[in-house]
Amino acid sequence: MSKRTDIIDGTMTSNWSKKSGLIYTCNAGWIDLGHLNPHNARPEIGAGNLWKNIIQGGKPVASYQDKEKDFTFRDGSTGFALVYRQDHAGYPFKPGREGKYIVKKNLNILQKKRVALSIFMEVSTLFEEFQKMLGSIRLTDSGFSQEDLVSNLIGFYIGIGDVTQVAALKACKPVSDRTARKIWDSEGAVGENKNKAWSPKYASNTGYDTKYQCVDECGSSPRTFPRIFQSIQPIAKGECHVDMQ
Amino acid sequence: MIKKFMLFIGITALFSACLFSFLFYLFWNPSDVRPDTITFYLKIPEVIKKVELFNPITSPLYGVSSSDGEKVGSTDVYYESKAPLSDLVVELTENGAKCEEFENRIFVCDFAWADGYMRQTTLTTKESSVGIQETIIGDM
Repeated sequence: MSKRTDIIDGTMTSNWSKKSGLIYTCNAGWIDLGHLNPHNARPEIGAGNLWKNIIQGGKPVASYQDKEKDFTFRDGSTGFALVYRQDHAGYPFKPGREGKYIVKKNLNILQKKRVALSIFMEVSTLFEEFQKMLGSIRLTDSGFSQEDLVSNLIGFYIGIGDVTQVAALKACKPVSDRTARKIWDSEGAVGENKNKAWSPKYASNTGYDTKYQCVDECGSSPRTFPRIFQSIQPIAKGECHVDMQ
Repeated sequence: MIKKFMLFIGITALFSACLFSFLFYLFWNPSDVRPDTITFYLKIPEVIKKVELFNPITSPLYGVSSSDGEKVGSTDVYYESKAPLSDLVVELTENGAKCEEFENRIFVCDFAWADGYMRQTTLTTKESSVGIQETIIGDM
């Protein structure tokens, strides 16, 4: 749940490697640096660990299933078990959502990335839906908060090693904290403006007047989501991964 | 009969209020918390309270942000110090941090993950002091 006080100056490169804070960017809208961090101490959490588990081959399916016969895909291939989770780790019982999957062995690197993205998107959406439910009893406004999915997606590309956090933010063109606060004040809190899409929701107006001039830090930006964050397409279940029953 | 019904309604309302207050407390992420407050004892994680403060000349202000799906939880403290910037960088480096210098004499120092937490220290040069922000990242 991001607050106005979380806003930091996106034009200062010293903030680009920070692990927390909220930044408005011309090409990706609001970005929460906490969501960009793909690393987590728990092995089933975080885009970095999801990717590591897919690369390393996860665990044998038999460790989760008590079945005599191993699962086989349509082409006869076997798979490995993988668990990916998103939760509120600091609360009792760590409430959240998780997915359990069987991923086909011996996929090529692109297929692995597509499977990872599919799992990542599915669990992220389940978690945001869960948060939306909590929001209905006014506990949090974080469900599908404007910056959540887009920040998660950028964090995914950082987690699989396609881009560094600094390069990702540079591509998004962050603005100053002054402009970001003006946007927050005119458009409302990020939690009030929902975004269920995996693409940014841009502020309708990024400019403001000072005593002497009109400032628009995004005036020369294309305001299009950088291609690097659209380079992998998710893959439907069945061919390379399935739900673990 | 009516008395019993009213008692039932009252207990249910009280229970609901307590439950909602407890849940609200759990989801509350305070910021700018001073050490001499109840909020500090109730909500600020021990892991940030243990971080050594370098010659503070302002009261430290603490905050916490809970884990939220992909977002790893964090807790931080901000204060200003009279310690020289160069001494602080040396001290942090000797303690295992990797420090990088940015514009306007700002240093961002990262420590490696240990015991499930990662520490990041930002040193900002002020006119006659150094602003220090300590952030601990991990499940909280």
